[in-house]
Amino acid sequence: MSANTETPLLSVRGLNVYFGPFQALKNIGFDIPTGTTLGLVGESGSGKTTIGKVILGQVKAESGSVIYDGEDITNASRSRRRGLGRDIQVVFQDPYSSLNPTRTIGQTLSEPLMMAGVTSRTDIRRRIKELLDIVGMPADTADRYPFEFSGGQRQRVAVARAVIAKPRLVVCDEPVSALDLSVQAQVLNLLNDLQRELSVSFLFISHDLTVVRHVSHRTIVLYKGEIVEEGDGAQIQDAPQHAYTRTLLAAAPVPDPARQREKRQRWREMRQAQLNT
Amino acid sequence: MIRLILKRIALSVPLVIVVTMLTFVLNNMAPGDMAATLLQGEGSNAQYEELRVKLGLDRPVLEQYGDWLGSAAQGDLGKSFFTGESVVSLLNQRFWVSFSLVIGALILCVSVGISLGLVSALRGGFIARAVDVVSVAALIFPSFWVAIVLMSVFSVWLRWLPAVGYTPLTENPRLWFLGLILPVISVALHSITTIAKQTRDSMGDTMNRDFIRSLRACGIPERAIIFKHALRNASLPVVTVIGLVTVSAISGTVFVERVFVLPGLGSLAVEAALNSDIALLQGVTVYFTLLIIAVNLIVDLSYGWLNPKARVE
Repeated sequence: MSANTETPLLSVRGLNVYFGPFQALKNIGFDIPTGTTLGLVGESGSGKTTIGKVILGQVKAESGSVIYDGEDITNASRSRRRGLGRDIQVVFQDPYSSLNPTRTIGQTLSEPLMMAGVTSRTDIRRRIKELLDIVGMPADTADRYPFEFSGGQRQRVAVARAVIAKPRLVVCDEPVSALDLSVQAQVLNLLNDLQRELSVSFLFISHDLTVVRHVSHRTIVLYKGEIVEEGDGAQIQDAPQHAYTRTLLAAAPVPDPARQREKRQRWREMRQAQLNT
Repeated sequence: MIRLILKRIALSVPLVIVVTMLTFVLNNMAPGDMAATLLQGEGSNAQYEELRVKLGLDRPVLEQYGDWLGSAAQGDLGKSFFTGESVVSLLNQRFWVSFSLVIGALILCVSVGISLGLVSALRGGFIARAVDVVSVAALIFPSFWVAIVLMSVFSVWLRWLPAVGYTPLTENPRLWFLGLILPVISVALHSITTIAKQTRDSMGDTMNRDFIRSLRACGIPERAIIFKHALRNASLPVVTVIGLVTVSAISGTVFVERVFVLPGLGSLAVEAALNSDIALLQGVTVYFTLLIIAVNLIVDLSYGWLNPKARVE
């Protein structure tokens, strides 16, 4: 929430993306200041993952711009993208498919370092050891294969890979959605710690407002490819302005049967009202 | 790994026994026997019975089989009833013909199949659809039919390649190579499309996995992603198919060697069966069985090499 006056690390303006005749993103615009987290909430198909892909250059934008550190990277060339790989990293939802099963954790972690120009084997080994320690993995992890670890542990490794080459922005695409609640909290805390230590910025994509609130400085709510609400996490959760945000909040379950029943009823009414309009 | 190999060798013993016993018994149930073949329809019933006794064909089937197994266990596969030559030396002469044929077919179908599959997975579009169409079409044509068509086009009509026969490598390498081209293509054609389709599907699948997207996000060049990361992951189901394809190539040699008059194990098997030459037939069966066990062992070993998860178990 600091640094708002400086030029933001990433700024997206008037982004439109089409998949054939279908418009996936409509006039999207937001800023991510250095060292902060932007939460991006929406249901499946709302276009949140597509925003991440446009930033990573894996989906082409019809119009609009993505400005990274003052440079327009919307249509960056292949070689420029290769260079950006050092600055912009990514963590995916599924920890089972996000690590190459045929390579040891050490080999996987050395990949971004080598791309960043670290060539000395001892340097690479030292850095891997450091990172494994930071993400709370045992020291012998580097010589083992992904299948020997649980989902939560793999996600820690995926986070380690994302931050090992000291990027400035990490796109986290539903990084905790596939994990147990207790493991979710561990990974979220890890992301918060890493941000404090490395002053890295996160674009945190999730369908769960409660999770987003826990990590984000600012949150935007996406509905059918449009931003319908923007504010800080607490504000959106406590005083939602848009009807869709209220439905989204009512859809998340609470650990109290009586309140849940009440909430469910409210959600049904809102959903019905939405369908009628 | 050594334990796996030893275990496989131990397991192959009962397999060889079962397969050879089946061959023995089935051949015995078929009409006609060695004695009838030797007499070529001439001679009296008394002569026939006498020859049967002389050849030991009058004894119970299992007793005959037991005798065979006893000497086979000592490495003696007997003598051909028909030519009197030692079965082992006959088989060894012919082995290299079939071996060149199968290895040639494998090299062809693996290299062409995987390249086609890769191109169609990574480029998509016309080539992908062509691989689909051709692979279904190729499944319709049996290898001996392909062999006859190839022969009539390239040997009879265009006169580019020899139609039949085999020249040993040591005699004339050029003729050896030319003579193998058509047989190798006939055996491989099927398998090229099977391997291409499997490669295309599993490569397409792998390239959509998240770890590939992470590598792209790191800025790693696409070529390195494909060959260093994706191909090894995509190759597991392809290796399974290559194993199956090898086995079918081995059995395919029986027809193709017959069509191209190649003196290999396959044509030897046909001759032995037609002549009821039981010792020879048993010998060919043992060779084929051992070959197939070896292929399966190689497939299993490469699994362990490709997939660290399979290595532990």
